[in-house]
Amino acid sequence: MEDSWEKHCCGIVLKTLADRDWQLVEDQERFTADICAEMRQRDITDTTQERTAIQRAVMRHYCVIMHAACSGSSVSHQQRAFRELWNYLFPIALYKTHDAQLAQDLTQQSLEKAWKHLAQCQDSASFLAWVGMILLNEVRDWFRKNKRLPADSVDVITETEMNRSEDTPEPELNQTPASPGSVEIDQVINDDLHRQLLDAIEKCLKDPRQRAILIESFLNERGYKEIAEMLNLAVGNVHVLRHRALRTLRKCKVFIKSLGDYFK
Amino acid sequence: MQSIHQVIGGLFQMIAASPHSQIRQKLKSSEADILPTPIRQLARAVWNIPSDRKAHTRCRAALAALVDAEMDGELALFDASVREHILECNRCASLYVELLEISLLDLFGRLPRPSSFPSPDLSFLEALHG
Repeated sequence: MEDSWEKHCCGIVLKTLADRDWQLVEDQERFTADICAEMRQRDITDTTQERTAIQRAVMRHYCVIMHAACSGSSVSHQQRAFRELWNYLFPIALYKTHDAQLAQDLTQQSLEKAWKHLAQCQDSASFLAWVGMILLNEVRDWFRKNKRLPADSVDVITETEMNRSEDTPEPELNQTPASPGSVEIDQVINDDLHRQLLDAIEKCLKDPRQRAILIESFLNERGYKEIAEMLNLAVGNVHVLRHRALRTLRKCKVFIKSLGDYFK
Repeated sequence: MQSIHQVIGGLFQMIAASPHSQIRQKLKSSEADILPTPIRQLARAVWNIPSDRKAHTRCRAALAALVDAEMDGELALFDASVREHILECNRCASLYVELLEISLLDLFGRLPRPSSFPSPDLSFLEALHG
């Protein structure tokens, strides 16, 4: 049983490396053994979740190797690492810009910036997310400079994102723990002022998804990914709905009055 | 007949006395400490009260690791001050969500794969190796 799980885990590790064409691992046996040992510690029963967790572990471990290769003294390793970074970033740039030439230019700029600022990467296990952030900033800067998007592009993202999700079914909010008035919220809301503010949110926000998003993120401290899964939305849509909800509350007299009562 | 200065002065007084301005002022001051933390964070996000620059810089530096923590289901273990900043700061939240979105698309193989990959120009590395 142990051996078959080990085999299964190793298979996923090696397939992840092969699918991404990641070739910087020098000692594959040790690399897979480390990851599988780490996964064994975690109690994951769902097979899909287990596969995803292993893939994430591969990424984290590989990020450390990639970061070291980028800043190391071996020319061949360094070039290989930057080529792999390019292969990671280019599809993202293309997805964001829908323009192959522009994607190429922005990916190139991002590589050079990553190279210049390697020492600023605080956590080498998050190296890919760090270079991803550099790329996203390059994309944003380009759009801002070329006035293709307003400086605060939340609302522009809004329409695209919302249209993209039109074919996804409306979540049944009364079945999620996000619905206002649920037990979880009662634990947080423990006095009249809180209750009054929650009622105000309910009155001001007609869209139950907006209410759920604010309550889950601010009162129940859930992250975007978790809320998105709960409401069957993309994380971008959660952000857009959250942004709209905050804007609505700013204009809503009931909410303003209710908040003002705290200061009396 | 009121002078233009009186009219403008009156308008400023009206704005300063509006509930929006009053709440903004309170949220910027230590009076906001009276609010329970989640309510204060919500109110600061609603009125888009800017956080101090240090919190902003700290958050930007930790953003990649924060995304990875959420991807790995370990968000609750992450530095609370960074998580709180994301709740209050729309600009950081917006970048955070974009990064989270591409990380999820990449993980689940949903990023469109280009039919061919152009090659990078790695000549910038030569500066180091001569």
